[in-house]
Amino acid sequence: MLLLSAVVLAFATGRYPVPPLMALRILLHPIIGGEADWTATVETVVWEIRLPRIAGALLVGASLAAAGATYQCIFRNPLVSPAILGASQGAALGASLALLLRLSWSGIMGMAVASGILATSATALIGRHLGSGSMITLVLAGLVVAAVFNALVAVVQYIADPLDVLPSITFWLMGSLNRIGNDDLGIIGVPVALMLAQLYAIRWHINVLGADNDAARALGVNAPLVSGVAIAGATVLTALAVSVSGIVGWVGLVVPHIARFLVGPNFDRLLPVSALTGGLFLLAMDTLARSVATQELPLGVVTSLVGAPFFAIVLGRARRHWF
Amino acid sequence: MAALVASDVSFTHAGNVAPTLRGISIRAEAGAVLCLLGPNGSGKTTLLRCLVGLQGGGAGIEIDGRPLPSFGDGERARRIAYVPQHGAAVFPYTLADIAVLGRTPHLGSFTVPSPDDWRIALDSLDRLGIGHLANHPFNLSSGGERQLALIARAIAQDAATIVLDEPTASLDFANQTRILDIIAGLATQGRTVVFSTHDPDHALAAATQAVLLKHGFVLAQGDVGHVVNDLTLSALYDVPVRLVSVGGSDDGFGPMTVCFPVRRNSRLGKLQI
Repeated sequence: MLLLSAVVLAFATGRYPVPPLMALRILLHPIIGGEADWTATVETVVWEIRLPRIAGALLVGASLAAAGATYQCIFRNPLVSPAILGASQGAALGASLALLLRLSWSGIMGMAVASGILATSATALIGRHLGSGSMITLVLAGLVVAAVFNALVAVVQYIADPLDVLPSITFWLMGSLNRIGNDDLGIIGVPVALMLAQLYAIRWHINVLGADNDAARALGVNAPLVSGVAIAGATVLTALAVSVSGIVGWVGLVVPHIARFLVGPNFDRLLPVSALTGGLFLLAMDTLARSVATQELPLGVVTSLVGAPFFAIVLGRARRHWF
Repeated sequence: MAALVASDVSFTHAGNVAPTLRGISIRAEAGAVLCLLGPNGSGKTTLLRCLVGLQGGGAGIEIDGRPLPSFGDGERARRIAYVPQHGAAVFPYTLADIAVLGRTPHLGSFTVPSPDDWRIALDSLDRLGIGHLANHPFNLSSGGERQLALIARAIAQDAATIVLDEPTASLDFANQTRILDIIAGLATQGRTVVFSTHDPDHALAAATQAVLLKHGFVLAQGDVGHVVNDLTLSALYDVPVRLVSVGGSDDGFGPMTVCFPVRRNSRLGKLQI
């Protein structure tokens, strides 16, 4: 219900305001028919601009939140997220390299996935090398990897054509959903759905690892296999989200905590609720970004402004469970 | 038939030079309660983890006459359950959430616990007297409640053999007694129980067989009444230990054997601690 009203509201909001009811009637027109009492311009705004953007926000938000919930459960660490593990920065390097080489959409996504998996593996390896005694070691490993990949992204920006490629890389990196069109929705939507389905299929085994990593094997769970499949799935989701929208921080960190507050820590419910909440959260943030000022704010900036203080509150509430 | 057999099991932890286990051979008959005794660092936990395949890849271990590595993950977990010494959950799982994990080996690959599985988990909590705490967070529970929840998980797992790592550690007298009663109860249902402890009294109270482990070797093994005595315990712990029989028919308790380390009263004073 909440999601539905947010979607309708998002259709209505923007530089070119459309009454919510009219937006709804335009969307339902092909199905229910009826009298078309709106201009062609309004129809274009709703179908060609707002629809892909709203669908993109839902897809990106769901991907990042599902990835964050998975990372937190597998690493048994409430402090990790796609951005903190360096997966986002890894994907950003792959995607900006692809932009530099003027590759197609699938090229961008492929490069982002490959580079994201490289970054996440590096973080996991460094984390294991440092020892798994504390939750902080993995966060520090992610910090190291993210710094390296950020530097490499800066190199790409430095050598990029300042008139053409550089602005597109720079604006995309700040986090934005306005590059996505209706044709791209399928290219991104299908792999996102596949990855979410993969994580959902092994949701109970992921839950066992989250509750008791040590004895998971004694409970009949093939821990290395399940972790590998889950981390790969979460990283691909992250990379897909990054290739659409650049680095949109905090969604993957904060939303799983909201979902856990709503339905508890069991991953079989945490995963779908995280994905839904993530989509809703990012849609709300994007609507805010489009409407709060005369000029559109970068999405990543808005999620940081809202997400970071929110995480401070979450930390204060749950501290006694963790440290 | 022996429920659990270890033949010449050796294990060296990664990064260590000295092996933790050096050619251990033990066997537990079906329905037996086997107690593992040994000083700190003798290899008790490592041996228990090897027995369930958490370490060493199951080499040299047989369950119900079949080599452990020949079992699939789920198949193995339906035969043998493990209760770790320290359970700690990062996220706010409830005791019921922990207990239902025991149903995992009975689930299909891509399914979640059914209402029946949840009922079995809640029944297990009930049987251990903590059913009223089912929705209590595991992390905020006392050591005794956590231990009971982990045992409930093993009961829900419905395995014929249960391995417990120091189940009475850091529990008060009442909870220690409760755990020993539960161990004895599991055996009367026909399960095979293997547990470790620092308290030889617990072997005398609840076990049928004992294995004395020192520096990764088996010092002695056999029936508890035979193996646990003044000489073996003194050699095991490097302090003089005495066993005495206490109680009688007149106070309502049967006679029982307890042991204690002999302290030379003046020694501590002279050390000026």
